[in-house]
Amino acid sequence: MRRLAWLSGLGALLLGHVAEARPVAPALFCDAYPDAPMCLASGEAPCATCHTEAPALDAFGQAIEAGLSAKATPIDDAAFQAHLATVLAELEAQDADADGYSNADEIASGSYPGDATSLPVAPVCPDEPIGPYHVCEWDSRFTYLRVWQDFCGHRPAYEEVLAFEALTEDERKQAIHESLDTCLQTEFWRGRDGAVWQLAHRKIRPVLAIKGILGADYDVDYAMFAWAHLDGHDVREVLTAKSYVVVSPAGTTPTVYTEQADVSGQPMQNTYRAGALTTSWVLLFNTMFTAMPRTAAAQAYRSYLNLDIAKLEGLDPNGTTPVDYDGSGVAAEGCATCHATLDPLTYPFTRYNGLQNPNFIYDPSRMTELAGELGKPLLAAVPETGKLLGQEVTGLVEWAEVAANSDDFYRAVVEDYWKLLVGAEPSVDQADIYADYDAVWQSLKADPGHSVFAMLHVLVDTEAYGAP
Amino acid sequence: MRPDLFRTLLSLSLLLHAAACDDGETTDGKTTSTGAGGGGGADPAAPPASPKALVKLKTALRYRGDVARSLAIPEASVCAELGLLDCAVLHQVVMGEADPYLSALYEPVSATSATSPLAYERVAVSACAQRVDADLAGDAPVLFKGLDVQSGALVDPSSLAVAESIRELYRRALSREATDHEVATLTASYASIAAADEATPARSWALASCVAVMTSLENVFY
Repeated sequence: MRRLAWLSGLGALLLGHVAEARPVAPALFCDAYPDAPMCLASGEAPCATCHTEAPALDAFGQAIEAGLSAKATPIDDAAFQAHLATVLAELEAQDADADGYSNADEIASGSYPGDATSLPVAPVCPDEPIGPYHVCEWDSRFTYLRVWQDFCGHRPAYEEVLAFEALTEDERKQAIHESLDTCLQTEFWRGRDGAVWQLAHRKIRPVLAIKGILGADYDVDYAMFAWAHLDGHDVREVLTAKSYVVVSPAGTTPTVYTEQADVSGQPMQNTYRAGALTTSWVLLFNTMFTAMPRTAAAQAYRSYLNLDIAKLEGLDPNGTTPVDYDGSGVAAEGCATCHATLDPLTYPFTRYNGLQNPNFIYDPSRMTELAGELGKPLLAAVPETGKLLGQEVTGLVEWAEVAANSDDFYRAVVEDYWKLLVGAEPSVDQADIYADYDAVWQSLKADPGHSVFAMLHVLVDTEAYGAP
Repeated sequence: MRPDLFRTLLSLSLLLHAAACDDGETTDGKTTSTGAGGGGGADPAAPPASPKALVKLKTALRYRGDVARSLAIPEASVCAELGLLDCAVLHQVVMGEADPYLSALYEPVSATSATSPLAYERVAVSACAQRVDADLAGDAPVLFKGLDVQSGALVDPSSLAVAESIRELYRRALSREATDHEVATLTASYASIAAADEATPARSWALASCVAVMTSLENVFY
């Protein structure tokens, strides 16, 4: 995927088999190749430049590792910074992935030098259609069939295809969007366990065995997610809503979502609600008993901004060594790199009770109480003000507001649909497809209503979606 | 395993390649370009490939939905293991779905498994068997209409009714006309199926034809 910002893809390669991050690596790579396409957006190279799945190295990453090892052992930060540019230059004429193109050519064109399937050449497209398919360009018939399959869950009937084929190209485009509108109302798309519902799985992480315990029923979380993504609602509400959404009982159709000011099992005070970040399920499952709910913060960061700290994504380049309030060793070398981002990300979550009594509410004295209970007096000094995306946030409500209005949020929303509908993560080494992805998330951001439905109409018009 | 099903599956291998679409067909079944797709074309070694398209697997619920509509069977009746468990739900992971509630698998796995083809075939065989049995019983046939069957065998495998049944199968399953080559291939397969199943060759042929089309690449991917 894009992962252009703050990825430290090159970091781990320098440490050989030691899994330690070097978040400066992407920027150093781009210092060496400032005009490379992969560096133009953010000045930091994506993980895929050197990794298969970080920290595992691809062929180019392994070549860099070998080059650095020949110059300095062990490879510490200083050696890394001192020798990376030299090693990169030495490798330029080589072809790390043996795909027939030199590393230099691949970097210059935007393809990945360590991935043999990533090539610095445009695909060869035939001049004539292949059968009914206008290959390599947006094809109305292909798009029509795909819209039905993706959004309605099945093909159109043969008679409908015949009727579609009889239309003019302009009429076809209109028919595609009419079909999309129709399919967006189907149970397949909007229902319980439907396509939209399923996008929330990795964010909510349901566990059937404890569903509803202490009133924490994740159906509310699913319903809030679906509500924000359906019917032209503002998708930011998934993080900013003060109200809840209930879903009709399982086994009943059609699935009905109803917005309500209050819901049984959700005792959070209205003022301190932040959409899906402060539901009882999130506080039960992610915060639990912990004083410093880093898991809750990291999961929110991962879920709604697609920034996974465990993969060294979204690290604040200006982060400073955090205060070790809970004696976890977060200031230690090797830990501080990530915790410089994670801990300030966590502070706004610290006043929200998980399984402390009373459950699932905002408690301004929570850290003071926990400091006494746990015998860790420094906990009382944990600030509620934290930092998200380089911006100071005074509490979780502001955290949610900043997140929901960030480019990362719009990118993340579109990326979920992109993977579902286009079939792969947007990747910078496919410039034309990535340009479509950029255009789609920009459209969601620019839309005053920030409507997913409107965004989907833009998405199906892209070549990335409709080119067979 | 039921003997009739066993015979059908034996026959199926003969048809799986034949049922894949020719590359150049339009909805009306006319071929418009060179090259061939699957085993049904003139040159199976050279299927055309799009250099840009991202082909997607129909996941369990999409596939079940398509099969149900193609064969005019309620989704809930398409396939049930032991008569109890919906195949598309039971085999959801190998058919490209997540399994969040019980297995903490929040997103589909990125690749199909060795058993994925079996699951797709399982769903197709179950649904096709229902459709074929209902059609051959003459109760408002959907696909196999007007077939002259005597003592379990087709009286005339080259009849217009047989050809039209194949064409209707393609229309309903793939939203297009079958090519002449595809019709000829499925028609010609009757002889080999009849040799393997002397008792109910008409049913076995219809079932194998249905499963072959429903499990073709053209129907499993989109």
